[in-house]
Amino acid sequence: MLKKLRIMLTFILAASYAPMNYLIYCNLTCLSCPLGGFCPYPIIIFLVMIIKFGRKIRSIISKILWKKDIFI
Amino acid sequence: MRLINAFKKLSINKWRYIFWIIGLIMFVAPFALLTRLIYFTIGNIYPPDLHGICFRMPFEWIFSGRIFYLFQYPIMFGTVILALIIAFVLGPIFCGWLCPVGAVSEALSRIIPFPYRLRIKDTSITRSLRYGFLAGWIVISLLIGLGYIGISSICCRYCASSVLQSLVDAISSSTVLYWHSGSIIVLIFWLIIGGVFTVGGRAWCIMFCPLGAMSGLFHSLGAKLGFYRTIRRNNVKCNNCDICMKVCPMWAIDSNKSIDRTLCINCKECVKRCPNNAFTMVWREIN
Repeated sequence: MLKKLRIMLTFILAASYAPMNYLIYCNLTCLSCPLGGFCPYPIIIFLVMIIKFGRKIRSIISKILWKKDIFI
Repeated sequence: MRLINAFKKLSINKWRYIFWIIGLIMFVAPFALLTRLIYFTIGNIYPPDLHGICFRMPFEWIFSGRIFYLFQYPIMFGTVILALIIAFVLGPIFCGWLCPVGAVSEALSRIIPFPYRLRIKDTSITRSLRYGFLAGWIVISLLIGLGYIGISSICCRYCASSVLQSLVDAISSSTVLYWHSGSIIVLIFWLIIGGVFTVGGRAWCIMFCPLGAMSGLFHSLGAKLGFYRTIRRNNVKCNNCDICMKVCPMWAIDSNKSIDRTLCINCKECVKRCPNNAFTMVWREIN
């Protein structure tokens, strides 16, 4: 039941990406951007990715640090 | 002769990597040989590059009811139909063997060692991501067709093909094509997060490519008729080493070692890399 709920939730989240893309998109090229490159769009996606894969990213970083013996 | 023998002995999926290069030469400018050949045959229309043959726009035209575009751009329509027919009969081998977008990101993903790369282990979640996005994309295409949304296309807002072409142009001719917020997202997701930092490097193909999703559907539909080439696992030979899971670029093999047909692209990585030869490529038999 929980798995089915997860699958449904994933489906809905994925289905909302194309409409979100339409809503967020600014219709400007980067060269003509009034924000001068401080684009909120990649930041939103980055935040979503960090929330989704935060634990995995943390474990990867800790593995890298451990392997390279940075703390020793 | 010695070189040929050495090449034959290579245990890696060598023909696939050769086809990656052929795909790049066929579709991506400055080469774009296939596009040039078609334009030479029918008369030059556009600059010959990866944009000349878009793998996604024809789907949007169909779903938005703009069928007349298909007659206006017969090359795009023909390419996509051919890819789908191949997917129906032989499996989505265009995605696995020729598509330059997937080839570049998959090649880049080999840089980082396996433990530092991300993947979704549950194939049902991967499948729902893929077809959830396709559903949302079809809804937006329908809304464009009905005139509720005043844009010409949703494909171009997250197009990895145009980003690849822009990157190659920037390297080969120092010209910069259009860059916008959508291309930055695609560059980050297709090449960096979904490419370098994922297992197989095809996260963009799995989640955002309508041609890939449609090919997967045609692949599983073809299975019902039973005449396509598919990968089969021998339970006796398998010792559950999980190497197949680690090398599958489409995350199509789950922990039970069952292969999800809607995700598999017949790339034969599991066949070539399995130490026990538990995977074989066979013509599917009708049960």
